[in-house]
Amino acid sequence: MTERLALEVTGLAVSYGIVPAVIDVSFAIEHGSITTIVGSNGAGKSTIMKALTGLVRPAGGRIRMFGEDIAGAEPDELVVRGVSLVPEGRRLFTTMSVAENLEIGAYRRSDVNAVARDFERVLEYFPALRGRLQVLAGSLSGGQQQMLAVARALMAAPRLLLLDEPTIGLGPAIVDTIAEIIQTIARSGVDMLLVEQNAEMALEISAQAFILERGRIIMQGRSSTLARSEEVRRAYLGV
Amino acid sequence: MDIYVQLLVNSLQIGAVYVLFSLGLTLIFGVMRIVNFAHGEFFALAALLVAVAVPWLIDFGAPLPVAYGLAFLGALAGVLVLGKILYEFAFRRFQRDMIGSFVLSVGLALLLQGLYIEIFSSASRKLPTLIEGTLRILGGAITTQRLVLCVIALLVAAGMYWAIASTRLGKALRAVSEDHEAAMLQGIPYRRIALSGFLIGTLLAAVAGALLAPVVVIGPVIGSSYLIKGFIAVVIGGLGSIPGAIIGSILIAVIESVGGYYFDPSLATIAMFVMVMVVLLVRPAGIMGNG
Repeated sequence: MTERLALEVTGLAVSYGIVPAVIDVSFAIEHGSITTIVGSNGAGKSTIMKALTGLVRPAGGRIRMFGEDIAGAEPDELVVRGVSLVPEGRRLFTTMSVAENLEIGAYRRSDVNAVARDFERVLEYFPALRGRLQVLAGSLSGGQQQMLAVARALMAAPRLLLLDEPTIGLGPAIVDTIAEIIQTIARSGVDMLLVEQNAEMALEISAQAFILERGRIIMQGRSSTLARSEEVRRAYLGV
Repeated sequence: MDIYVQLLVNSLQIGAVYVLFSLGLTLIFGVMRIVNFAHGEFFALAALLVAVAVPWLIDFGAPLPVAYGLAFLGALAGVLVLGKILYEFAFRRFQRDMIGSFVLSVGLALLLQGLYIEIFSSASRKLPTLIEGTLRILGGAITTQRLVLCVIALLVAAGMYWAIASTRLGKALRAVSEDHEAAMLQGIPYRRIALSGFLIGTLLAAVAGALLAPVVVIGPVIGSSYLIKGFIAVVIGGLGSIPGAIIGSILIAVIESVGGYYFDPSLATIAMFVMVMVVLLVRPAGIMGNG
């Protein structure tokens, strides 16, 4: 791979009707790292994710993934190009079985052997799902549903994985499990963008961070530096 | 005893056709969030095409079964072409728009009925019997022709059910029905799947219409009464639910045949509407609906 950046966003603007949700946002993700966007509710985090996956059309700006402009690409095309999103609220297919959810995750892949290998791999990441493959996804516990959402996204064999609030509403033990898995996945060579309200966890496992407030990036830098910053600590870490 | 068997047999043969019809309706609703009030016109076109083509083919010297076979396939093809045209120029633009699609499909139903009257004339048509004979089962009677029709309809419905449960396309259809955005995020091409779902639904209505052609009197406005029954069936069963459409269809068929026997057909129809009200009061999303 010659391209140094997995993702490069320049001057991104998104509006819902006349209401601007994201204003002039620029950031980049380097290969081999976890990047995080921290922001409170309504800061525009999910809107950025929707723009990155083609679910909303930006009003302005440019998004380049792996060196290619993605303007106008449909969400399903972007999956083929190597981007997967673990959406906010998980959005599992609750009336389908766990195994079917994983199968759907690999919908556009034709290499049966590679898909079977990844199926085994995600079950190694999340052993709790192994015994529940035939259960309806809707009957899993919240933590298991989140695991399934991550596993389903991995089934697409993404090069860039976007995670939208993967730990929201989960207990501390499960947050730790998810955080560990995120790091494991990153080490396996998948670039990651993690969007979180849980700034503590996000800043701990990421290399660089952006702080989003009311649609704008107000701070950026190395995660370890930001975690020590007085402003961030007061606003997002509750200290 | 005999009468119960007879009522069961009657319910089964009515229900088999309703199942095909309402499966299509619920499938289209699932993938596009459109209640297609013009669905009955696909059904009607298939029946009309068979009614026109069979005598025409017989004039050319085709034996009766061959004439029916060719007419059946021709009718399905004709309805698919109409379905594709309506999808491209109309339904595609109104998906996930409840009010827009309602106005559109009601308007299309009226337009198509008018066209059918112009093209096929308002004459009622009756086709020659394809298979002679009557079978007696446990004291109930059914013409062999209706039995064959009913078995084919049930086989098609069962095949459809299997395909939706087990094939790749079926899983994509279910995923899109549940959450089309989440489906796109898994790489499912929503537009293509919506078209497939719409055409499969259309095809099911065509199969129902073409199958029923030899046993009913066919006129250009035959579609509307099936639409109402099919719509009631999916509302009772739960819009978008496949098992719901099947259960709803069977319930409607039982009410129609039992109610029609003990009381009269208009009371049976009233009973259906009462049932819709009761179901909507108790379970607003339908028997098998979620949400």
